[in-house]
Amino acid sequence: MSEPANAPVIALYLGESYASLGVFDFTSKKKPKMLFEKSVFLPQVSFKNLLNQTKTALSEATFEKIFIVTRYLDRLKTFRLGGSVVQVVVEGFENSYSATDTNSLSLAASTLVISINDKTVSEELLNSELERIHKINPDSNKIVLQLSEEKISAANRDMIYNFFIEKEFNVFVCAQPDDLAQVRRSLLNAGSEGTKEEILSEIRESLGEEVEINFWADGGFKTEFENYEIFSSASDFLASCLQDKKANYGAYLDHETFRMISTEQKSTWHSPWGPMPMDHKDLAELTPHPFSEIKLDHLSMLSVGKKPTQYEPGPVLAGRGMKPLVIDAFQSDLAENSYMQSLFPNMNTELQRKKIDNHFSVLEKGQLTNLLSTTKTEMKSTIQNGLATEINQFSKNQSVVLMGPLQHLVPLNSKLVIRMENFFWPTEIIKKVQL
Amino acid sequence: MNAATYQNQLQQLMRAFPSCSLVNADGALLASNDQRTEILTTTRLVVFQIIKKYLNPQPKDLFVMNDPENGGYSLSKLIFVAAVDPNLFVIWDESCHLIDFKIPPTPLYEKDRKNEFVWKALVDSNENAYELTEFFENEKSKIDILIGQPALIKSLAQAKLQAVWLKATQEVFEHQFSSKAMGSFDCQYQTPTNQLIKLKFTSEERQNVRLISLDFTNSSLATTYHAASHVIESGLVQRLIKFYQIEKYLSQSILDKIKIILPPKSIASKAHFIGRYNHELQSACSQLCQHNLTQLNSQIRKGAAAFEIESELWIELKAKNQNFKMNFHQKTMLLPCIEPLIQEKAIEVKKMQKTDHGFNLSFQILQPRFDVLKVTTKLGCAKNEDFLKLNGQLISSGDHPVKVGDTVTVKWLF
Repeated sequence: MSEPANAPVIALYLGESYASLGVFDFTSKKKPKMLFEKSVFLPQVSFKNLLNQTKTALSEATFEKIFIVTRYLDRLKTFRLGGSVVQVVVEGFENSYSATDTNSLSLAASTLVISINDKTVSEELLNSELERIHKINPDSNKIVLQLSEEKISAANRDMIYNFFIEKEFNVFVCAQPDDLAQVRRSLLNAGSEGTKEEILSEIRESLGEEVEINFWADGGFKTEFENYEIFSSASDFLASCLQDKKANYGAYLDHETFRMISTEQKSTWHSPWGPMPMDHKDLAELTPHPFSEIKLDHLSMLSVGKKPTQYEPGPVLAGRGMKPLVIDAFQSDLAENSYMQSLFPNMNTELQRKKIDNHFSVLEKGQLTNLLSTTKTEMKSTIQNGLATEINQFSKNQSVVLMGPLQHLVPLNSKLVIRMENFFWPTEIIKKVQL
Repeated sequence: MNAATYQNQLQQLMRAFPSCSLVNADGALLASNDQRTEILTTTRLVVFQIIKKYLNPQPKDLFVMNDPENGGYSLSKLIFVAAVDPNLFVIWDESCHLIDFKIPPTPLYEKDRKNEFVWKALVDSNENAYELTEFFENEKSKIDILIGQPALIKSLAQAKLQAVWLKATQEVFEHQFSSKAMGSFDCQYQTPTNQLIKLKFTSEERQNVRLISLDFTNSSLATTYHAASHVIESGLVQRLIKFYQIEKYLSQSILDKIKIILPPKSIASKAHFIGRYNHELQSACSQLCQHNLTQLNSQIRKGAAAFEIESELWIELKAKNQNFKMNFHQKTMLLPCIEPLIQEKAIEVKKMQKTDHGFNLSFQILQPRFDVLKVTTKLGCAKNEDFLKLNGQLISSGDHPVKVGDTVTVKWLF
């Protein structure tokens, strides 16, 4: 584990839609003191703004280290990636990574492919291919080399690598191009590079170029990692919390995800882009998603949408949302929740409450009157009992740790349930820095 | 509790079973879940009736069967029946390629205890006893997890709530039935064996009773190419509930509104002894049904719109106790086995190229464990007749022996 310095240390949780930040003084290593804390909903307050607020609040301090646990890259999971990623492949193997399951999302544009034949490849050919690529997408700046040692000579592989380095491409080399899962992983590294760089550049811009940025990946904080590793950062961190509690299963609930975590490590990640090698401990997403819309379906029945809505503009309780989401239905239950209050400071105002009530009133009354008609109260109860049932099923009726700031939505109170009370990400993160 | 909450509980109970049905003691279907490409909705109901009649399942019992000639689907498709309450039964299916023999209705567990006699004959004496034990115990554990949730089971087993739910689903059917066109439409398909499947779809309302009927009268008699009626029915029911957008409400109330007329011993009603053509015929009949529904409901109905079967190819590379499947259906391809086979150096891929217009695959077999390349489904493919070759020779449906060094080539056009 990393050794904390005496300078204040930042612990940051960067979710898909929010950031929770804490600054800790490590003068007393046994009990670090929290100097500052702030949580923001990113569609409303930018990450850069949060960092600047932190800097302003502690104007005397210099920050040497930041420790991050993140789910920020999960926002990519619904997207086809690699619009600016070029693939260099052996002739006859074009887009092979996407052929074994066409239901998966793509990781690269199918036209941005340069086919290589060992006998005919030359700098001239690469130049003309590059010209073609730039006509298709002038912003192409990342390239993934998928050149098998058996099919392309070392000299040609070096020539190709150097050619694209010279052309100022960010080059990603897939070490095992015959393994399609490895190819996907390399493409994901390239496709998510921009998002990772976005985080890093904002931190460096605000806290200085020298700040040491540590991400939780594969059981510890690291400064060097491949992008794919931080896709499992949060679940891996939570699994380590479970291990501390000597439990095998955990359920984590915040406003952007309800999910099950287990301590059992899986070596293949069945990602939205297809399977790829990655150790992870995510078990399943619980239903419904807190950002799923509550609406009238094709039968005019109150129903919960299958897929979550975008995080922008957010729920009605955030102030700008126009569609009632699952999380809005629980506004009154969460009125006293400090985590929710800090993210959504206006959630308890009369105006927001009225807006939410109006939305649900319209939905309730808009239903077709039949035996399936339901009310918001009944729906909430169904959701809560459903969560409890799912948690029991995933944990195989064994003991389970409830984590996260919205854990109280789950009505489980048996001896098998351990609650990590007062869950606050920066505090949990700093505990691991102390170890 | 209202019907919406009951429905939610049904979904929770079925969550761990991608292919399952729930029925009550009277055999009335409460809910069904068919997320796989092989649809067994009514097959499972047939199995339940057989097991109920001959073996009288009680809570904590677990039964299994697969016999495709008597209610099952295929040898490798094992169908399980468990009573989680005297008034609530779970029927589900799972594939297990270690099984290539018939299993009649058999009690695996009785009162939560292994049936030693059955276990000895079915599992212990098998050369894959370890894997089979793991497989069957895993299936049993799924039921144990459900039984560990007594409140949920108790609620779902209440006859009163079941009646409310069945009535609610009937209301939903009637609402959705009214939103689609009434009338009839028919079409036919000439099978690769030059037989005819004729299907007439009718939706009508008579004396306030709304009914859908699917009539296969005048379809060819079974020769060598045929499938069981429940297999065909399963596919048809799935198409209907998708079209009427009532997937989440499939229950006995809806099944009772669907009348399927299948002449005895026809191509679409006679069970095959190993279910050899089940998927192919289920797919063809489902597409016929879809065509009729689309044509009947089309605003710009074309009188001459002929039925055209979708391109579909399922192949299996068979090794001892292992099947490696590759499925192609129009623009969809699922080849989950290719990657592990490359990693194990069991095959060498010579070409694997996906373009906007199609897919080319060519691989050479490197290990002696493979003995057969089986073409299980081959439908349509009108665009390209030479899409499947073994060592450069075109191959058709059926089993084709393979050996080390053989090359399989697929040229699939979208």
